[in-house]
Amino acid sequence: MSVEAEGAEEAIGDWLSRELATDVVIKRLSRLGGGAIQENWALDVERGREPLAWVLRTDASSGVAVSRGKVEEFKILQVVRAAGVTVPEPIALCADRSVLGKPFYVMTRHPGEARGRVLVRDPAIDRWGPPLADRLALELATLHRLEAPVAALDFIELADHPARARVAEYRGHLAAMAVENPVLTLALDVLEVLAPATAVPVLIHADFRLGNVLVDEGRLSAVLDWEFAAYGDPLEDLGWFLGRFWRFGRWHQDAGALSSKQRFVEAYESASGARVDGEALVYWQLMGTVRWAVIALQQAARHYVDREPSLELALTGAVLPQLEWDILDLIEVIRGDR
Amino acid sequence: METDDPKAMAALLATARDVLRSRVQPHLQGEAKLDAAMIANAMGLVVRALQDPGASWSAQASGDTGVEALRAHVKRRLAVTNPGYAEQVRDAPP
Repeated sequence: MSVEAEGAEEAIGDWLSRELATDVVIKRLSRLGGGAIQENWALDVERGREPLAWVLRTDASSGVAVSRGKVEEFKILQVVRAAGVTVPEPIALCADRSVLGKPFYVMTRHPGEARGRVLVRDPAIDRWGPPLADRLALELATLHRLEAPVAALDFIELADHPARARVAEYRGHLAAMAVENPVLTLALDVLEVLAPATAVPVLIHADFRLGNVLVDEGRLSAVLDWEFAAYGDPLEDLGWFLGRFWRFGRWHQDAGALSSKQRFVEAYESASGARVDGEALVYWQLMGTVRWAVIALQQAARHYVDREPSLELALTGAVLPQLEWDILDLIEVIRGDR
Repeated sequence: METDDPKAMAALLATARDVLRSRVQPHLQGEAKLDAAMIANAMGLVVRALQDPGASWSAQASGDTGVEALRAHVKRRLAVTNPGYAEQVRDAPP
C-alpha cells in the first residue's frame, strides 16, 4: 500500500495508535511540495482529543543512491535533537514495509518557508538575514560538537581522511558517467594536492543551506533534510553554505544569501570556540562547488542516460558552466591570483 | 538559402520561443506559467547552442588546461547557458 492508496489513512492511524499506545485519528493527509528525493506529507491528527500537526516523511520513488534511508535519518534526527540542534521532534519510525510499502517516519510540523528563491524575495531580508545567518552558525556549531563516531550512529562510515575520501568519491562519480571535464579535473587535482587533515571528524549535515532550513518571519523554525548527514570535516558544512550557488542572485551576501562570510565565520567561531582556518575554508568552498557540479551532472544523466524524462533534470545540467566559472575563481583565490 | 541548416533551425526555434513568451505565457497561471518559463529557458539554451556548436568541452580545440585558457572556454559555454553570469558575479566574492 502506498501513501496515496485508499485505506492508507486508516493504516497509518492504526499503526500510530499501536506505536504510541493511544488513540490516533488521521484528520487530513496531504502531499507537501518540494522534494524530488523525499516525499513529505502533512498529517493532521487527533491524539486522544488533542489536535496535532505532524509530517510523514518517506522516500520518493526516484531517490538518490547516496541519500540515507528513513530508518537511518530518523536515528540521526533523534541524535541531533538531543544535542540541541533545532530540528522537528521525531515521533515514531515505521520500518515495517507492510504498512505503506516502504519505511517512513513521523515528526512534528513547524511553520515557515524553506524555498530559498521565495525567501530572498522578501523585502525585509536585509533586516532579518544577518541575525538568521548568526543563528545558523550557532546551529552548525552545536551540531559539530558531536564528534565521530557517535554510538547511536554506527551505520555512518568514518573515513581516515575526509577530504581525500571526498575527492575519491567525486572522481568515482565522474568516471562512472564517463565525464571528461578539464575544469573538474583541474579542481580535483588541486583538492587532492592540498587536502587538509581533519583534526576532529564530526557529524555534519552535508546539505546545510537556504532551502533546507525552515524560516518563519525571519527566524529559524527548524533545520530540515538530514538525508546526507555524514562524518566529516566541520568546514565542509561551512564551505557548502558559502557557495555562490546558494545565493540566489544576492551575489554579495556570501553567507548563504543572508549575510557576509566574515560575520558568519565570526558567529561560528564565537559559538564553537574554534578558530576557522581561512585557507582551509576556501578549500572546502571549492570542494562544495565541485560537489554541486557532480550532482548537476548526475541529475542531467537521469534525464539523458537513465531515460527519466524531465525538463527540470535536463536544465540542471545547464548550470555546469556557471559552476566551472566559480571553480576557476576559487582556484585563483587558492593560488593567490585573486 | 537553406531552411534546414543549424542556423535556420536556431532562427526557427527562436521565433517559436518568442511566440511562446509573447502570446502564450501571458494567458497562463500558476504552475503552467512556471512550466512555460522553463520551456522558454530550454528553447533559448538550444538556440544559443545551435548558434555556437563549439562551446562543448569535446569541441575545445586547443586542449590547453591552463586556468586562462579554461576560463576563455567557460566564458563561451556561459554565453550558451547563462549569458551575463560572468558580469553579474565579476565583483562578488567567490
